Amino acid sequence: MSKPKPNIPKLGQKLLSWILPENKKDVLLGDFAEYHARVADKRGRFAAFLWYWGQLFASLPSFIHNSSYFGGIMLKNYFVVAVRNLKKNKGYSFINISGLAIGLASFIIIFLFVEHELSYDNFYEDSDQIYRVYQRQIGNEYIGTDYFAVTPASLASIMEREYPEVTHATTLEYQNALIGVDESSFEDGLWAAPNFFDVFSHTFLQGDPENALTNPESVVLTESLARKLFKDENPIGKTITRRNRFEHTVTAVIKDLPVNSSLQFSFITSLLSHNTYKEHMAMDKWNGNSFHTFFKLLKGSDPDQLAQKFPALVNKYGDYEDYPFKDVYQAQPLSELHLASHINFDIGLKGNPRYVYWFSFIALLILALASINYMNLAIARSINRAKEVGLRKAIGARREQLVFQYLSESLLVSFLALLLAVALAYFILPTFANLVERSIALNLSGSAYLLPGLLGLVLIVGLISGSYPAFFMSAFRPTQVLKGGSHTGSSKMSLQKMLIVGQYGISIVLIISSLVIYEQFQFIQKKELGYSKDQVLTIEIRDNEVRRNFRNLKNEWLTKPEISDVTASRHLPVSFSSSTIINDRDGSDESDDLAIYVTDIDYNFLDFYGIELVAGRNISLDFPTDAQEGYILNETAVRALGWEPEEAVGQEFTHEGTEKIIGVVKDFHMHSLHETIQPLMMRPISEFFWYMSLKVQSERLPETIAYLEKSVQAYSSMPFQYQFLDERFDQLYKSEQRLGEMFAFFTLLSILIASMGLFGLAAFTATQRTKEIGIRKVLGASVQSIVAILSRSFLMMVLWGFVIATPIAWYAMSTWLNDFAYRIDLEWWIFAIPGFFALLIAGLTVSSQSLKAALINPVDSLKSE
Amino acid sequence: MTPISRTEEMLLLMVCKLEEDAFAMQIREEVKALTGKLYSIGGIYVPLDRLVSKGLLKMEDVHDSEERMGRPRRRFLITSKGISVLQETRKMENAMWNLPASVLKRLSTT
Repeated sequence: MSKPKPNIPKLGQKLLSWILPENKKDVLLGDFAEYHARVADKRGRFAAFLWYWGQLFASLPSFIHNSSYFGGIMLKNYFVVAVRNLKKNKGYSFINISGLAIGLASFIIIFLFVEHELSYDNFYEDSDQIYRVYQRQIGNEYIGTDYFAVTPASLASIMEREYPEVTHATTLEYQNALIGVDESSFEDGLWAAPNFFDVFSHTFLQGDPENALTNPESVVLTESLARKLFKDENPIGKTITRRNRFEHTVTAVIKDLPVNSSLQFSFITSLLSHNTYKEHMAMDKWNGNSFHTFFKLLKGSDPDQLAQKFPALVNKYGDYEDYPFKDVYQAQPLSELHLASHINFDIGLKGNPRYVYWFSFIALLILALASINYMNLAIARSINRAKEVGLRKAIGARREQLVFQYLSESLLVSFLALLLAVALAYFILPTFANLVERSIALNLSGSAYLLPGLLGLVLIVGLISGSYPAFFMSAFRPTQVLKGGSHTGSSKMSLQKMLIVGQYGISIVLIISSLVIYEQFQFIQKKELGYSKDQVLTIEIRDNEVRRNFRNLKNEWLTKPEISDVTASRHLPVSFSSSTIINDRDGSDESDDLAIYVTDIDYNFLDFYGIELVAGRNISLDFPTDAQEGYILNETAVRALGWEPEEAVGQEFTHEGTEKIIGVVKDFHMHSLHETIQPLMMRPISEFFWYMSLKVQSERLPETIAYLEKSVQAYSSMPFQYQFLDERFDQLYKSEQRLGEMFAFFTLLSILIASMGLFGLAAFTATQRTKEIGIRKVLGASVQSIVAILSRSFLMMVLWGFVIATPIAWYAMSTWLNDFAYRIDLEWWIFAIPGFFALLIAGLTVSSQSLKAALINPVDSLKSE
Repeated sequence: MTPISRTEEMLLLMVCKLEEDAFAMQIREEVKALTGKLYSIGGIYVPLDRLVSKGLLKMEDVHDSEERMGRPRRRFLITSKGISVLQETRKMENAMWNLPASVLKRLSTT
């Protein structure tokens, strides 16, 4: 007598009966049941349950193998039908595939860019253990931030000594100097301590890392600089000159730096020959921050714990009795160096972390847009294949076959889009790389995520867009489908509506943003700077001889009609970078101290640049005391000292002694418009000034420049370098300009994609409603009214998109504009014009299709019943 | 005649051996006993179906037991083509093993 039968897993049975082909179903179910009972008898119910499922999965391959999925007979037909379908609707197919391809291509490009930006400096050995020290001087704001990347010279060696978890610490400093053997050119380089290579591992082609920089006179060259200077000769042991004065011996050659190195240099000289370094190292206490400190942490150590030890170090070695600002030292991983921002005197090629965020965001956005668009349109079009499905079922296709056919067709098409996307990316990447000033290569296999991610995405998109015909339509009864009851589920419509609203909303946000960025730029360009920068040519003085003979040069130049004025200054009005503290007397109240920018100017500087005096007088040769004591302050400075401009004239303050204010100028912008105007004081030039400014006519400009070059070369053998002031000015805003260009580009892209989507949908809907249109025409509707009816719902969607977009754009742009101390206001037309523009584009897109549909002869559309 | 694979030969012989009992599950157990290879419940049908489509076996569904709740069991029978294929295969095998004594001695298992 058999025991009561344990129950066979119901789910498993259901699954089996679904998968198994008809001719085998019963037999196999029986086999499973029989064995299930046996196992249950022998080993118990739970074991039987496990066994059942185990056998099910183990048998899966054989089920698939047995059905005619792999009977390749039908494949040819599926392929032919797929191709025919694409050809039949060339227009739609093209729009659809290229829409997806564009989205995928943008994603690929941006992904490569972001990956590149995040991969900087990762090629060093143990790069994840390398950190650098930076400090914060709370309250000492300089060009908008109180963080500084420079540290005392001896910090590195002290850290190595005092902290066991610091395995190596090294010091370095950037330099750009004239380097040469026979001919010289300006090269980027580094000063480094002898243990530089203990922290930063480089590949040595010649020489060895231990001794490369121990000799104070040594220099290490990169491969390409060595080749440039010495061609094919062996550079080791040879001498090069730096700044036409100093000699260095080549001790090693290292391989060129990879593309993603933020430290860009072609030579390294030893800090042991650097005067300031030697001085600072000889002192007990720290005095001055002039160098960058990098260190390697023991594996497993916590940098935050190390940072907590810093204050003790500062107390021990720092000499800050007179200094009002407290130093706080912090450690930062090397991987963040490239994207670190808002740190003064920082070293290395900088990327903008905002770019990384924004671009990632945009990439995902566009990808989402394109994919949804594609699926939308593909599903809509597949409704037209209902007849084909019905026919196939009628002549005996099994459900699995239909599923396979439509899914594989859909996957094929989306995979085609991927191939197209890769080709597109290949062509567009160089332009994009140029735009963001990086060299990015099309390396799909570089990242572990890109290729699988893309394939996965294409798989998902293909599956979803094929799902409607594959799963839903294949379940229809052939009779119902063949008779022509078309199943335009209205629920589908609302989903599609939402998608259009979303896409146009996003496009409108982008248009508004582009417009705002453009307007802000115009504002910056046109804003009254307080000085005149047109037609001003600036020459940087790099040679003392030139400086000494400035008066002669000036007189000589003024004789030329093309040069109308000449002046000199320590800094240019575009970027004043020296700041100091005044009123800092011993025993005086610290609240009197004022951090102020300082520069030296020639006597005609104010006239040259058209800077207005509001009180007092200019510095002048008529007053010989001016040379020592004559100071001109700007309005902000005197107000900070507690005076109105008129009262300030004649007042005194402490700087290098007691100084007198002889004049007050109207505030002018000496930094980018990101910053508010800071206090400034100006005094006559003496020995150190770096820039000569000339007003030149635009006619015969090349000749003028050649003439200037010759006259400067008479006193200097350095290469002659000049730049127009407005070029320098524009460089302040280069990153914003780039941002604007990128936004414009992506705006275009998103409008394109959204319009493609709208176009396809409009066309499709129009064809669905041909009968309705036919009837309306017969009943007397005019072409205009039909177009209106068809277009109305679409334009409503765009309107909704606009409603959603406006607050989002307002918020985003306000945040961006807040970065600028001087900015435009967001006025109503900034929102209205893009909205109108979007509506216009949508209108054109939709009406072209509506018009086409409206012009069809009703006879044609109604006669097929 | 194209030669059949060893697996196919083995299955055909088992069908002959089992006579009326040549059901899929029984064949599966015989295979396990002889070679140690355990086919999954569905997997055993793969080579068997192939043999059927080649015409070497035929199958019939038999309704005989209550364990399976009215579901049939599938029995396999050897066809005349199958028998002749087995005979041919045996002949070929004998011919292959018709080797000189010295070689046979090396290959012997006793």
